[in-house]
Amino acid sequence: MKKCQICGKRASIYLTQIINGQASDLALCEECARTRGIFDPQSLTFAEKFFPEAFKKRVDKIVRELISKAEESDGNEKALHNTDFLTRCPSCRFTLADFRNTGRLGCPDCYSVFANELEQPSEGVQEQEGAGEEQKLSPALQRSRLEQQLQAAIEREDYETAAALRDKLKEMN
Amino acid sequence: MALNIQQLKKHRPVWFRENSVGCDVVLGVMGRLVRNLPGHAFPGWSTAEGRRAVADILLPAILRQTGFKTADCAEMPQLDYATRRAILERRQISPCMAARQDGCYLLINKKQDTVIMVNEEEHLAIHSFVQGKDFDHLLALLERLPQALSRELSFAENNSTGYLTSLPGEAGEGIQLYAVLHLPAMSLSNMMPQINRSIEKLQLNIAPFYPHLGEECGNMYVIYTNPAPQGALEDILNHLNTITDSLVAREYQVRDRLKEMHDNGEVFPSDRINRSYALLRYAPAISQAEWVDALSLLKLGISLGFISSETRSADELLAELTALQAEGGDYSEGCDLPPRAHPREATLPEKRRSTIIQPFIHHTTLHTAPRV
Repeated sequence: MKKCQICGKRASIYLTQIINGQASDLALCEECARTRGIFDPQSLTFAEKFFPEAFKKRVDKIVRELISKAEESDGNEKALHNTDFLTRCPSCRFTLADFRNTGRLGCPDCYSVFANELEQPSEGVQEQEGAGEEQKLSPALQRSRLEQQLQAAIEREDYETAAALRDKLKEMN
Repeated sequence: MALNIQQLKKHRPVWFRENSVGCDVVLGVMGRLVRNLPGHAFPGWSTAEGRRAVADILLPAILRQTGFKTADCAEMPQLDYATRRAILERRQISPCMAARQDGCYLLINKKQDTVIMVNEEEHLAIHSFVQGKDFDHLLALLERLPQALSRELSFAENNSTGYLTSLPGEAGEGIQLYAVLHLPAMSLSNMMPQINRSIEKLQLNIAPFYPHLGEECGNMYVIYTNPAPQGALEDILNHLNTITDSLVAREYQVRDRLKEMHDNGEVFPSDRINRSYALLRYAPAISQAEWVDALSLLKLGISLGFISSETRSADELLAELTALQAEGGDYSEGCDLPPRAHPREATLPEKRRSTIIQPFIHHTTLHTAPRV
């Protein structure tokens, strides 16, 4: 499973950009994609909605920016994240990127070095919590939330998500 | 002393020792305990020198403890493929350890009820085995060595997490529990997919005992817990105990049902058991998967009273065959398969059959002769 190249969470949006014949793959989580205005229809201007060329230019700009950031971070691991904790264990030289890739730690000292990272709830837990919240809602509220999400998915032309949401709504019926 | 197959064959694994009457479902229980040394990289991240430094601290300390002074010890590169496979198939070591090389050591005590792995996934991993479902005895056996070692060594731990492991999700008590179950009646009744789903929902895991032979081969399953978080060992132990008890009760219910079916004149259970008997008796060549399945059904037949055996038990045969299958070459003797052929394909040639299976089967009486 790919991880977001910005924050390290599970990626749900993948971009393949071909510039001058060279393909670059980007993986982003929904949050990062949204904060950069890529997929939030609310942040698109009227012109972008109705003139896809303008939208494409905007996406190109953001993708280039992300690619340059990703290249920069590949070359310099210390700049991987602008966070306040260490990214390399001084005892065993294990890096935060190693941990994110393997899910393992290098030595017992890594527990204190990567304490912030370890304290974050895992993806599974987050998903379970999300599912729990969803279950707490009344069926009517769940339906209206799903309908909103479906509408938003159709607007941003994310047909895969839209199909999944439509199936969920059908199941509810 | 060096480890080899002949050493291993001196003791049968607990899974294949005769069980007392009424307790032939839970074949045995296993515990896994892991500890790490502070200030050393975990084995998966360290170099061969780093692993040897850890072994230099752990090995002398282990060999000083009572019960381990005469343990068989070997560095993994000294073990050939067949020995590694034998130990792995007896479920005494993990697949990870079977693949380890420089700086990784294996120790087996004389009774073969405790196996110690130095530099497996963790610096120290201990597997202990007890016949039947005696979890109290298992925990006492499992914790004996680390308690003794903690008087001279310190292990990596912190107050909030417990004992530290290379996988952060496994930190805590550093203990995982396993139970090996023989469930032929439930397998025959096609109940295993349902049982698998239920066990997953109950936060436990289930795996086939012979993963290399297929999902239901031999009708033996390993039910195991996740590594216990700090302070949760007792809850996890009780949970596994309860689920194991329910499975045992269910297996006996289904066996009663099979017996009832047989008494009512239905051929289904005795047909399957008699076919296994015939396969063992008359088939000129038997694959490993076939004899594991056939012996499992024969054990069921003995339990249901369809079959009686005067000499060796099916367990004894399984133990012997499990040790034998690891000899690799023996199985390709007399057939065209290469020595390391896939075990499912490897067959036991006639010469070996005549010395292993035939003496057993000739002293076995079938009470459910086919009706003409």
